[in-house]
Amino acid sequence: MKKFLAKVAAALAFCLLVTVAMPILVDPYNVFHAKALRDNGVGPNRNYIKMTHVLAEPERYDAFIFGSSRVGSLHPEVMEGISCYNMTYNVGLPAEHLANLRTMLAHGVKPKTVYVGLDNVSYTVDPAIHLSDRMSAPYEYSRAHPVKFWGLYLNASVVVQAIPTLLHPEPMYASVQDFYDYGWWYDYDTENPNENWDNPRAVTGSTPRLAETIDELGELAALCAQHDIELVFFTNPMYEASYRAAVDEQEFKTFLRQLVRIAPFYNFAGLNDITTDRAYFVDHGHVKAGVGDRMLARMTGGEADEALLAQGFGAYVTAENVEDVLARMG
Amino acid sequence: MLFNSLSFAVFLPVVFLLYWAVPHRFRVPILLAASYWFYMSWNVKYVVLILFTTAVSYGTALALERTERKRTRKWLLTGALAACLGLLFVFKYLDFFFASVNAVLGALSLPLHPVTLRLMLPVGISFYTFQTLSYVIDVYRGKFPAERNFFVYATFVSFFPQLVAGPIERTENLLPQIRAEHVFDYDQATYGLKLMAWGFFKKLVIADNLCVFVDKVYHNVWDFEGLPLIVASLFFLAQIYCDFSGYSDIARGTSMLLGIRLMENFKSAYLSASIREFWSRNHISLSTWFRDYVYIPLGGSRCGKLRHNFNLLATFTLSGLWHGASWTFVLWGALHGLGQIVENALHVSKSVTVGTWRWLGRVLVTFTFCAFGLVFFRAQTLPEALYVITHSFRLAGLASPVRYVADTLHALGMVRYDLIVAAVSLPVLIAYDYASLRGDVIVWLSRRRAAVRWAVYLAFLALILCFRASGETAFVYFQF
Repeated sequence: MKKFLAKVAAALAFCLLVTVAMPILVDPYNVFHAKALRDNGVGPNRNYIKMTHVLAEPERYDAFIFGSSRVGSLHPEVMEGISCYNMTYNVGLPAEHLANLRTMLAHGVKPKTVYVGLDNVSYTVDPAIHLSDRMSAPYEYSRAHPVKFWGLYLNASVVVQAIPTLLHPEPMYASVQDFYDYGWWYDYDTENPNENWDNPRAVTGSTPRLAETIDELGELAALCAQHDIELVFFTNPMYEASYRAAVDEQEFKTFLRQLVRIAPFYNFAGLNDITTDRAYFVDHGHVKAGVGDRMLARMTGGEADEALLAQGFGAYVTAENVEDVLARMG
Repeated sequence: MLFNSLSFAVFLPVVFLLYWAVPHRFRVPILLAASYWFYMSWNVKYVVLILFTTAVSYGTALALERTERKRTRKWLLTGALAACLGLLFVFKYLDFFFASVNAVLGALSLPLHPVTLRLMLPVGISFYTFQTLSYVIDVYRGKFPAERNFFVYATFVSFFPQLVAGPIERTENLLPQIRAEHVFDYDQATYGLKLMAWGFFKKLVIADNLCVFVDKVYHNVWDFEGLPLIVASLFFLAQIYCDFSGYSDIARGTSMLLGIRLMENFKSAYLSASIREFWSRNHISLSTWFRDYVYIPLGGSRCGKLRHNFNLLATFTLSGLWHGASWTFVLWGALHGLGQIVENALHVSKSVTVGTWRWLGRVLVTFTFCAFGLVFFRAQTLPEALYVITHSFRLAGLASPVRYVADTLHALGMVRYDLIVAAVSLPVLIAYDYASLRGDVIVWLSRRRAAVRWAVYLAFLALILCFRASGETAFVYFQF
């Protein structure tokens, strides 16, 4: 029996080396290097890394921008007099923003303002799909189910699959330091040369969960009110072709009507001079940083372009004017 | 608790160490407790069903021994069969039965009152029901004395390595081994580990990686035609073979760690030169069960040609129905029965020695037939199966083959990594199975020099760990 157990132990040690040591060392998704991100060409788990970063310095930021990659063009460094961090990550969802904010508050992070970017993806994607997604598994999952969370990454096949990218990485970050300081990463100034503008991708989910999303946003509003946090909702702009292909207009307007009952919001969605002009977009789903700056300026300083306002872009939507703005959205 | 789960990785070493640490008299209680724990990890409620089946078959066997009266013995046997099969019928076939009756009544324009119970199929019920039936029938036939110790018998029914997906063990093989006093056997235990590793390779590297592409096509067959349908159907053949034979290998390996040898369930099944040979190599525990308890009692081959053909068809149709409550399974079974009838008519026999090329040709024909049959096995409905069959050879893009293959890979969602996995793992599988026709590969390997052996073992472990599919995917046969 001793001889048998010794040989089993040797085989197990080898398995551990391959399954644990190799993934930690190579770490394509950077979860084991949350504090020292390497730009290796593989999309990291931004939610986990950003939460780890924010919780490590609870007093550093006064404000947070939550949302999917579509809020990635909002560069917080243009905001004056406020230290803001952009929490943007792949397909960020309201349920996860709520969980993130709860975690932040529990760890002594006290934001003054929280911005939340919303669109059709917010209410059509089931947050459960992120539990098996290495790029988007939320920070809270690592605490509630550590075995399952780390099991996503402690897997030699994950490393093997990433090898081609790791060998020929295309750098993602303009600067890793900007990622840690402000939360943005891509170059949001240059049009994606690979984007197929003639064939818009219908970026939307397949799980109808409008009611659940409204409940989650309601909880987010209540949490902010409880902690005296200013909550700013806004809608994300999408390129016209993608908007037409992906958004069920009636459903989206229903969502907005219900959203305004929770809190007023800034509207940047719909069809207007920005969203119908490809020059403002990096790709179908993401506006350039210049538009992001204008959105931030509108939400912080109240500046607005009258012509765009007339089309609904930048409109401050309240219960009183919601129907008027929806009619102008196109 | 799946074999490929973290919980099993904890469960098995604990059971193994406990089992060998205690004296013989405590081993059956440990095995029984472990087996029930294992079963209850799926659904605690269904423990009632296995207990019921165990108690009925145990009691019936004892009662059979106490009476000599033929009529009483027949009634006892009928009662036990009705109780065990009745339970299986309610949980597995009742909705199918109602749906079929409703369909017939609907066709006759008679008023319909559709009833569906939508009961969840208890894991392993088909397997342990058949195992208990064979026990009761064997006792009835006087082949085997009834087991008096209830705990030994309950362990025989619920023995965790083979509880949920077989092999469906026979009384004469498993029951004496559970009762026997075992001494730890180093060679047997290491053989068991190697067999488990081979099973995990088939399950994690081949079956679980291929199932992604199979599911993609078969979840919506209507979106595909031509090569993607053919590739998905061939992948399904490899998937289900590796999934089920992988499970059987892990089950046998696990059992060997506990000093118990389960029967071999697969012997290079897809290297069979005839359908008859295929069924002597594929899911052997089920095919021999049907041979011994259905085919032979019906008269087997010792009767007229017509009756023999009927026996074959009935046996294989029932075998198809055993797999699932759907007409697709029934058709799949019937197809294999018909295949054997045709083989008999053409005098294709496994005993005939043929040259390599002729053998290869026959293997290819059998393989193609099996792949064709599996379309019915995998499709959810008959129209789906018929669509796959009628649209598989619409090869409209074949004019530019390279482009067509690239488009097919794209349609299946296969990337370079997937091609590498398939290109490495499938030849390993074929080589192993081919070598197994000539002898035991594991034994052959264990006779090599230590350095060679360990190099192969470690390389193989690395292959599993580096190419395994992510997540814990259930074994296909759990649904049966």
